[in-house]
Amino acid sequence: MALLKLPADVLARPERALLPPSSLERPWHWLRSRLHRPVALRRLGMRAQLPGIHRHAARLAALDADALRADGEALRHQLARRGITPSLARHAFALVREISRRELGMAHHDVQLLGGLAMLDGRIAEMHTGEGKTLTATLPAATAALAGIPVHVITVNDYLAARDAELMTPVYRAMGLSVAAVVHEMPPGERRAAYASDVVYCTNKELVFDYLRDTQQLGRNRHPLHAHAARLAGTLSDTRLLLRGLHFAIVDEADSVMLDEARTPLILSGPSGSEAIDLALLDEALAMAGEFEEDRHFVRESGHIHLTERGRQRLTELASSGWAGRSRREWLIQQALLARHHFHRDRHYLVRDGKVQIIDEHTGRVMADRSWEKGLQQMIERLEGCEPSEPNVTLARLTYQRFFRRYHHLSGMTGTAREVRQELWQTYRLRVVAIPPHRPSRRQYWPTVAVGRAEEKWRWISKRVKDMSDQGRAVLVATVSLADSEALSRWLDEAGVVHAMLNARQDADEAATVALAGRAGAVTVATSMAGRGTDISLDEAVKSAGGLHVIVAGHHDASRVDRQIAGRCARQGDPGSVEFVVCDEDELLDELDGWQRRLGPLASRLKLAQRKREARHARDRARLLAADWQEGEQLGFSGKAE
Amino acid sequence: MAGPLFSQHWHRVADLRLRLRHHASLQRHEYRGEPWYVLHDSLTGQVHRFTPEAYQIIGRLDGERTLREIWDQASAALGDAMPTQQELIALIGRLHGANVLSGHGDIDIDELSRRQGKQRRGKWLQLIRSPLGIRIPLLDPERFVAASYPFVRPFISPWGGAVWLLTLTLALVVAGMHWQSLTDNLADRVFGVGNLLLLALIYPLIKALHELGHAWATKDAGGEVHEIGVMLLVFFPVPYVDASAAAACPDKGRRMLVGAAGIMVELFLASLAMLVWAVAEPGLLRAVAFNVMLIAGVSTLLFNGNPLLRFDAYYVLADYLEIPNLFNRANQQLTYAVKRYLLGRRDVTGQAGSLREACWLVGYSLASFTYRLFIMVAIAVFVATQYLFIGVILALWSVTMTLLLPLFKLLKAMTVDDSLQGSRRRAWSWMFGALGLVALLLFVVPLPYATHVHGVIDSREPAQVRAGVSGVIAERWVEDGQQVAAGDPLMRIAAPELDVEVQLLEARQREIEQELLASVRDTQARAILRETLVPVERQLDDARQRASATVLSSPHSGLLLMPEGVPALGSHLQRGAAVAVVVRPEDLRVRTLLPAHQVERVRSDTREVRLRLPGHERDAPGELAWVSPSSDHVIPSPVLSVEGGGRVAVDPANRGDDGAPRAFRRHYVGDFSAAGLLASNLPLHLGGRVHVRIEHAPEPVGYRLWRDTRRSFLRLFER
Repeated sequence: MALLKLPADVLARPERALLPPSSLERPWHWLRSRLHRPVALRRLGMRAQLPGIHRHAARLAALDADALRADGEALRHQLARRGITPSLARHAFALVREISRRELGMAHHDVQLLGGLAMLDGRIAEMHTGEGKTLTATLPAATAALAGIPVHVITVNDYLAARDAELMTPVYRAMGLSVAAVVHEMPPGERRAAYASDVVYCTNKELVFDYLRDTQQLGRNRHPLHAHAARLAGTLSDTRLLLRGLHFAIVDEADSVMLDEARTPLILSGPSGSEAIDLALLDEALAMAGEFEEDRHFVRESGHIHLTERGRQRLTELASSGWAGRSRREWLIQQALLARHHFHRDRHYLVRDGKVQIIDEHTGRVMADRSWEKGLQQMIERLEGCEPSEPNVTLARLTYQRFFRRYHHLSGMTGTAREVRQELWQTYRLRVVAIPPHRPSRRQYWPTVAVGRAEEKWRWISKRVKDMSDQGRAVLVATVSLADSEALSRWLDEAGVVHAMLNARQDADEAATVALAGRAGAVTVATSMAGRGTDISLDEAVKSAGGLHVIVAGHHDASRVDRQIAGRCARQGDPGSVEFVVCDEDELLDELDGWQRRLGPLASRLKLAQRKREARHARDRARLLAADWQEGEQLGFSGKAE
Repeated sequence: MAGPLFSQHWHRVADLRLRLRHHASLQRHEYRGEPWYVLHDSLTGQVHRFTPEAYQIIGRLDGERTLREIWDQASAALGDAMPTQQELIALIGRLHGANVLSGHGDIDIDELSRRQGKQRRGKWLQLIRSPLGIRIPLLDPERFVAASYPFVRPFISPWGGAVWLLTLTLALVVAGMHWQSLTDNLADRVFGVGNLLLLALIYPLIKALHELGHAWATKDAGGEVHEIGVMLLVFFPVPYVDASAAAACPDKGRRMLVGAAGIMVELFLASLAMLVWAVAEPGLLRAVAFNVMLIAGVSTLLFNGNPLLRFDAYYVLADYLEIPNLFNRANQQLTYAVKRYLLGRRDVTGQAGSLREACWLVGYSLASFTYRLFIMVAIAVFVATQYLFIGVILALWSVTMTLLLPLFKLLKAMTVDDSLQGSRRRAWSWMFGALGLVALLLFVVPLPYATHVHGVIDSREPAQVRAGVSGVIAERWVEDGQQVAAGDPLMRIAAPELDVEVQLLEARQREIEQELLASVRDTQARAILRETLVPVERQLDDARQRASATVLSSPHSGLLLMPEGVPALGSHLQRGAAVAVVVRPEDLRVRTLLPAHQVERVRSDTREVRLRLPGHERDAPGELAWVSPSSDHVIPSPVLSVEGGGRVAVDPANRGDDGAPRAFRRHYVGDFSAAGLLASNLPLHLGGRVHVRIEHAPEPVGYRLWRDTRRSFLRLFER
């Protein structure tokens, strides 16, 4: 590890300037993503630092509270003066470890220290699920914060952000550092105060939206010098800005945040003043779309709808005066066709309290305050018989790919990064370091159960759930979609199994549900929402009965998601078992066509389908990034970066 | 009309108030009956072409309206043809890239410097990509062109055109008259050392006039020329001129004239030179005229006159078709056609406005690609053989850039690019299908395979019929190619002096006999007279014998051939001259020269031999009789050499001991029996040409091509 000197300034709002990749850069990084120093060598280098940390730790363990605080103050001065040198980092790690031991009763294991070192070095630490990543993150976060660098610990959802911040507050506080969590409901004033803390726990969405809101405030004064001039001129007030710059980020569940969610850019929208939506026109479009027949008037190709020649003719015949412009006409009908044929209730959205709410396909959570663009939302609302909402217009747009690279120091941790390490390098210039587990895993993988029809699957699962819970084990069933989880819930009700639900519709008391999921005989049906970060603590009775049993009812979009769900059991040396139940009607099989869809064992077909979907999503991300740069070049005249 | 209506980035541009800079002006043109608007940047001389739809937007860029307002207004004004936001952004981006926009607040210095750097890099990349076509700008000729334009002005008129046409016609007529002497041994004259020097002196002058022709025509079309320079085409300096400003001229004819001006100037020079050459005495002036003709006439038509290369004729063609930027648009149209029709994609748009234009574009794209490929390979081979080491490197580089790089790009598009997403499988199946078909045709389907050579009819032991006496042919009883028996009379030679000699001798004999009778008593005189009589009688016998030889008869039976042609009745023959040959059929053969690389195949794999006489439809079977064990440079008959109409190249530097031409490469002699020819009753001439087709076992073409290519390359680099 080399000396780490990062800007700690908060007035200049430092962020890394990014240049569009030149033509040779992409192949070069493609190559570098495959050729690198063996990870074992790198791990060895990090291991060499452990004795140093332990030496400090032994010294610190002997100190009383006051002496420890004094030692921390001294270290703080040192760090501020000299930057994060390797020796100071070792000292800081030992200090964090000692304080954690005293405050939480948890001292960091060696593997956690390794993970912390990897992150301080600007890498992604791949640690097995249930290895205590939250605790690991305190090491680099506190070290950087001691050096005066504002730290963002970014995670996937508000629940985790709030939980982690709360759990770790004692450690930071004991070191004289302020901690805050930014969650969705916070008003701007509180947000500003939270971002002013030394260590901020937040979700990726909130962070990027706040960043975009800041760019709206800054307008053309994005450059520090411009901003300073505006500040002097009195046209810019720092008190209206939320963030203090992009200094140091630790991304929890890095693969989810940086890849899965990066397929769609984040769009900050605001109420549209002028562009009112013509409801009559929408209704007309929807009615017309109802008359269009698939394959005759339009075709569906990989998520897009294309009008055929016949469809175009039909459109011209049917269109009335309000449909000026061929492009506008075709676009309207396409939106209407999308609303009718592409988006499905309880898979892409749910209707709650007379409102259409979008379900995040990665986390299975409701994305509050998000809406589809340009009348699509209103069309779906009309179809669902809801009150049409106010249309929004885009104010700013940013992809995660570009946002995260603006951090001066970016690091991450996750349980599943192996499969995507090349993409992580190519997109974010992040290396993945696999950290060995603290204790060997006791997770048992049971053979995959393949059945023909969906009903058989639910019947089989409800029977298995009953058996397991009768044995006194806790059971977690993970379904692919909200509709699936509700279907299973009905089957369980019929079988008389008492169960808890955790999905987009029933997300009110996530913490309580998770807390109860580890009791003897508890049955929890969840979507992928119960994947990342969900720590189900087990009763002693359950542990002796064999721990948590996870049934994965169908593969998800990425094998990483499956692995995350499997990782809910057998955490930190507990026993546990996982089994996959798949059927021939799983949606994932749509990825295959022709003979591939039917030929061969179901399990291998599903694996193939999953690989194809992963590859498709990876391509989507690459395309998004490429288009982002390309359009950015084209829009050089706009003077706005987002 | 492509892509979605709304852009993801609209919010970034919607509130901009932009306007055109003052140095940019718009003009209305007509292309293919459609109005277009051409934006001319008088500062840089760059020209950009826009559709009327784009004009609806550009015309509204006044710095007052926001882009959102402009879009709304343009949409209302254009109705069905309304632009999408994406198109609007692309248009503004293009204008921004052309540096004709202002009014977008602060100048983004970073962006500007990035763009400048990119341009600079682009120039270097261009140089690296095509090391065989480097451009070196030299000077700005604008002042000279402006000053000299008034003097040239009268020529750019209908009268000037008439004069030009008249001169050209006259020169063509004169050239036709002197065609023989003009083309006689052209290569030797062109590559003579003195001539090369002259060429080198005259060449720059003519090319400078050529480029000035463009410049003046551009001036006439209302444009300015700010760059003239030298392009190193395969290390050979070729001047060029940047006449892009002419594109701003709305008159199609004038634009075409700009493109054609260079060729016209050169043709005019060539015509004048032709006339001078025709009247001048041999000497320096004539040599100069000849060279001017050569450079200005031939070279300009070969290089600049070819629209498939991006030289003058290309621009003329593009202007004529009213398809500006023909080359790029043709390639884009081809890509579109492939994607839309082969891959069945719906999300692509073409370049063509009409079916006719589409056909033009696709046709042009295919033709020019094939031609460029051909030229490229030819140039690469030429360079590689001329400048051995560095040449090979450069040629490899050039091949890489023009052939392998597109191939690599194709492969990349096929494997990882997003543009083919969704139709990758179809793309691969088309590619494999096409490749498979080609491979099938090349390497699986056997096609007839034969070796063609020229042969000459020859006899192993010819029996000559010679004239026994000098005289005039009085009678002929046989025809060429006729069968004769031994002793058959063939023709009679009338030799009147022989009769006179016989009569003289007979008179002398009679005289001596009379004198003998008269001198009965004088024994001594009788003895003398008797002695005298003996030689006279001998002479008489001889004369009589000679007189009787005026009838030529066949020495033995066989085929009578007259290789020197059938002598006409009444033509004179010297004694001992060969008149005809009587050939026994079993002695007749067809002698050929077999190229060394084909000998083995002829020896081991000959299925059938067909012989055909030139000018005859029927052919006759033949049979391989003998192939010489070793190869040689000797040519058995001039009929086989290139000069004699055959195929064997003659070595110009090397002649045989007897002065006979020798073959450039070694050949084997192959003999074929001519029995079939005899049986087919075709008129045979000894020493006459026979086309020989040696049929081998059918073989796929690919293997032959491979062998030929390998052989050619081995020969090329074998120095």
